[in-house]
Formats: sequence, C-alpha cells, structure tokens
Amino acid sequence: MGLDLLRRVPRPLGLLLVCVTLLSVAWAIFTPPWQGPDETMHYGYVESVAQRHQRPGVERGSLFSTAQELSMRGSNADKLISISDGRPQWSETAANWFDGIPGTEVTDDGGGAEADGSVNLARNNPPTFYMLQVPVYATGAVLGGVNSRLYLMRLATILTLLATVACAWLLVGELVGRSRGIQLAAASSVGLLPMATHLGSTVSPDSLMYALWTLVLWLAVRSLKRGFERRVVSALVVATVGAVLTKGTSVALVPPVLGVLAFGVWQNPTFGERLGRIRESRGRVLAALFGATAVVVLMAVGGFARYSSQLQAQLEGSIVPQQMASYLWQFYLPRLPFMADLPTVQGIPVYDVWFKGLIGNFAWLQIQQPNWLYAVLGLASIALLVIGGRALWQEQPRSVVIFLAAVAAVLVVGLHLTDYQQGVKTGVGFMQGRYLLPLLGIGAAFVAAAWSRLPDRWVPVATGLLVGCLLALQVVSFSRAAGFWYV
Amino acid sequence: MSRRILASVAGPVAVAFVAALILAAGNERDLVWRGNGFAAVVVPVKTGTSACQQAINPAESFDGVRFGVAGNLALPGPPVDVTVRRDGRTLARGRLAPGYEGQAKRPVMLDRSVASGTGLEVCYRNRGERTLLLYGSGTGARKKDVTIGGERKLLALQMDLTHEPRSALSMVGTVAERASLQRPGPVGPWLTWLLAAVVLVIVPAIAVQAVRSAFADAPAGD
Repeated sequence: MGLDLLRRVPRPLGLLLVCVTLLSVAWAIFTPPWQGPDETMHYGYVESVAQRHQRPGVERGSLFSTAQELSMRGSNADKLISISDGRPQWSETAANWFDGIPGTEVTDDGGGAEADGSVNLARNNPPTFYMLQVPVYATGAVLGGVNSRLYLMRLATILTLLATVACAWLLVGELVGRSRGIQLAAASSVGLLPMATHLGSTVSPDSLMYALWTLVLWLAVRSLKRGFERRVVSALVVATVGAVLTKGTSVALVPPVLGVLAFGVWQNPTFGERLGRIRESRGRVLAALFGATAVVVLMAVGGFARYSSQLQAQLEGSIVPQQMASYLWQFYLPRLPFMADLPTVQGIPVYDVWFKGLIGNFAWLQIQQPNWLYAVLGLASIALLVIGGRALWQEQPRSVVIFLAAVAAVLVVGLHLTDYQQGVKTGVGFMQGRYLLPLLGIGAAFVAAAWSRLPDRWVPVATGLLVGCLLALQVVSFSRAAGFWYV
Repeated sequence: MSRRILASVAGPVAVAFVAALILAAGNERDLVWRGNGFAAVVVPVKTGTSACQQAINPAESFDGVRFGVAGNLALPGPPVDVTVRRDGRTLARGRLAPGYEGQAKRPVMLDRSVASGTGLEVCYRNRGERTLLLYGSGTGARKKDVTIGGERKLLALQMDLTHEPRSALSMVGTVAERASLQRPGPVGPWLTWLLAAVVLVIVPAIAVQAVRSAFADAPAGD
C-alpha cells in the first residue's frame, strides 16, 4: 500500500518533496544547537513528558535538565538568544567539555518551575506535538546524548513540512484544477521558502500546525467546491481538532470551519425539509439546542485558554478603543504627529515585522536578509497579492473566497488582540512574522491564482524563475546564517 | 523549452552564489571569540582593582582584545591595563590609553600572540583615578565566571578576542569546522561541504527536473 501511494505521487511533487527534504536536512544540521526559535523550551517540554510524564512547570525544580543545561552552556546558547551580537561556541574543546564527565547526562531533573519564577514558556501549549516527539527522543537517547536527541527530533519535524507542501499541492489542485505547472509553482512557494524550511527543521510544534492548517484549508475548499462527502467532512473535523490540540493559535480555525460545516448543512437539499419539520414540532427544543451549543463552545474556548498563553491574553485584557485604533493605524501606516509613540511599534510593523519575518528573520530573530532584498521582494509580493487576489475573487466560488478570507481575518484579529494586550500589560511587543506562516496555504492559493492569469507559453519559464528565485533566496539565507553563526 | 527552464532555475541560483562570494570576499572579520555581545549593565571597577572574565576557550590564536567600556559620565575614561593569563601566569599584556569618551567597544593590541586553548582569563585593571566603567550582561551568564575586585559575580563581560582581519571568503574551511561542533557522532566538516554541494548543485538540478516534468507530463485537465 505504501509503494502504491508513492507511485501515485505526481513526479513534479515527488521531486519537489526531495528538494524540500534536502534543504530542510541542510538547515537542521547547519543550525547550531538550540538556535531554532524557542527550541530550548520545546525540547524541554518533550524531555519533561518523556522523563517525568507531565507538562513542564507543574512542580518546583530546575527549568532544564542537567544534560540540556550543560549542552546549552557548551554551545553558548544563552549568550545568543535574541542577542544580535552573540556568537555560538567555536572551540571544540569548550563545546564538548562536559562529554564524559560523570553525572552530566542526567535528563530527569528538568521541567520544573524555578524559585525565581523561571518556567518553560511553552508549558501552555497542548501536548500533541510533544507526545509525538517522545519516541524520537527515546530513539535519540539510544544513539547518543542530548545533542543526538535534539538533532534527531529536528529531522523528524521535517516530515511535517513535507505534509504541508503536499497539502498545498492538493489545495491548489482543488482551486485551479490539476495543472502540474501551477501546482508546482504554488507548492514551491511553500516548501522552498527559507523561513518554512528553517522552522520546519527545528524542534517546534509550529511546523505541525502549518501542516494541519493547510490540510484543513484543502479539505474545506474541496468540500465547498465538490460538495460535502461524509469522509471528507470527518477528516476536516479531525484535522481542525488536531490543529487546536497542537497549538492554541489554531482556535482561529474553529469559526471558519464551523461556517463551512453550517454552509454544508444549509446546502443539503434535505435539510430545509427537516428544518421545517423540526420547527413545527420542536421549535423550542431547537432553540435550546443552539443555545446550549453556543454555551459549550464558549466554555470550551474558555477552558482551552489554559493551553494557550495567546488566547489567555486575548480573553483577560480590556481594550481602550482610541488606543486600539491608534495601535492598528500605526501597525499598517506611518504614525501621525498627534498619535502617541507606542513602545511596541517599531517602524511600520506590517512591513518591518510581518513581511520581513516571512521573508527571513531566522533563529531567535538575530539573522535578517539585506534590507534591499526585503524591498525588492516586497514589491513583488504586492504585485502577487493584487493579481492573485483579483483572480481568486473572479474565478473562485464566493464561498471559497469568504472561507479563505475568514481564516486569514480571524488569525490576524487574534494576533492583533494579543499584541495589543501584551503591549499594554508589559510594554513589550508580541508580534513576529512567523506567526503568519499558518497561512502558507493561502499564500499558495494566491500564487496559483496569479499563475493562472499568465499566458500559457509563459508559465513554464515563470515557474522555473519562481523556483530559481526561491532557491537563490535559500543560498542568500544560508550565507547570512553562516556569517552570523560561524564567521 | 528545456534550456529555458534550466536557465530560469539555475540563473538566479548562480547569481545569488556569485553575489554571496563577492560579498564574502569584501567582508573582513577579526573575531576569534566572543564572550557577550550585549551591553545591559554597567560594571564599575574602582581605582587599583581589576575585573576578570574567566573560562575563556578560544579555538584560534589571538593578539587583540575588544571590550565594552565608557568614559565616566562627562569625564574621559581612565587608563586600563589588559592582561591575558592562564593558571595565574601572564601570557600577554596591552593597555587602553586614558581620555576616551562615550560608550563603545574599544580595541587593545596585545604585546604578543596568545595560542588557542582553554581556561584563559582576561583581566582589566583600572590604572586611573576615576572609576572604570565596563559593560556586560547577566544574560547568558549561568556561572559566576567574572570577578570584580576579587568577588565572583553572575555576569558576562562584553568582550571579544580578535586577530588580524580576514575575509569571510578565506574562512570557508573554518565555517565548515565550526558548523560541525556539538553535532551527533558522524557529523564532521565533510558534511558541511556535502550540504553546500546539495544546496548549490543537487537541489537546483532536481528542481530543474521537477519543472521539466511538470510541463512534460501534465495533460490538460488531468
């Protein structure tokens, strides 16, 4: 069955997946230990689940295990986190000084909450990704020490990026038909994007979240375009629940997916008749049922908030309308003279945080692309958004456009609420470009729509150029990373 | 068609690679070891006393030290004697002349080159009449590797060890070695070279095949 499945993979997609795998392996190995965003926390979470069978931060104790702590010290990790002038350890003797010292491989003394309040910042994430990584952690322990486990877990994460690319391919197939060239262009924009390969090759639940979001997009669009089949709808519900159980951010998927399901019920020809019958006989029961469902959903969101710091922030804080309006203006447009200078807003965040973060802001935000490159790619992206957006609007059913827009809008609104609330509370901004990466599938839809507008004879070369430019961006990204980490 | 696809994929990659080489050739680096790149706290060192950063493990020889220091408010900074030691034995010396103003990382040339190794200590002795203001950070300091006036502190001083500037291009071999540190068993510099070949040659070659096959075997409406 496995071989049969492999044979059914279209050759361009198969070759693209090979490219993505090789690039991701290169990123996984080239990136120094603990230099994936929040990687120290995510590894610590897996270790806590594997060794103590509980989420981190439940009991008093050390934040990290002795083994992780010593590896971090050996690699200079603490002096690198979000510090643009730091460098990893370059001395082999120093990097490996703890090897062979008795007692340094202690792995079950981490995952605690320290007396000074230090606690694993990933502790509020749901456990799905971390539990999936436990067998990999155990395998790594057989092969070697802490660094073997870390690098093996990175390699395992790459599978989630491959799933994202495959789902983007399928999504685009639903949108523009099985056009191999357009599907390749769109899926390449997902899998060859340097930030995707970088994040898809570090220990983080985000990459699994991207895969599940793209899967949800594909299944929902398929249902909206082809009609609602029971097995597809079941898969859609399972994928949505899986995304929510992977990272709290995915609660943003719930309203649009509920909308799709409601649309499906409404479209069902037998539904009208049934509804009429129910209205006649059980109108009050129906009203009570809807009311109870709404209460359960609200309670579930409230209860689930404990698994998401982001959701907690959104639910807890209050909003001052004028302040919020000023924040939103300054996020997208230059600050006007009469507006307060918000400490959390640097430059124009829609470009300086979001766009730059999508094009390349690696590791713990220390490695950026050259500024001129952001500007050039910014203009190209605006053209892509305009042409692709117009094509989507004109060529896709309204229900599909509304669904894609709703997914993007709910995520963006949630991010703004969190950024605003955290800014008010702590004076420190929350926003990063990579938080938009769950929308990789929608980006692929824009590429596909724009490509569908090209004259047929241009499509092969345009696709080649897109793939070539993405690979060139990979080369630039590796050289920037090498310059920061190793020179 | 086939050649145009090859050119469209390989062209941008080749341009990016050549541009990276040119930029690396013009990019001179002198860094051997960096203790802490961050200037978060002021570390006052009184007249006649020293601040020392210990547990320094440079992988190469060096003949310079660059450290975060400031003049005392509006007044110029005092002279600083810099000594490099191992096991209490002085290996090299240097001096920062008085009169500097403002906060900056200031370079000091040592009187001789110091070989690579572990367990080095760099000390800054205040030879002036005013307090010396060094810079450092608690971030990244999980061990008390700094002493100030003999007292151990949980700090890391903002400092670099340096050698003659070299172009980044001349350091590709060094990059391969550094990129193989703290990796699992079989990983060595050879793998960095192999990965470079993968990124620059093998992946673009497979990508060309992917684009060709997308337009070779995709019947309309398939």
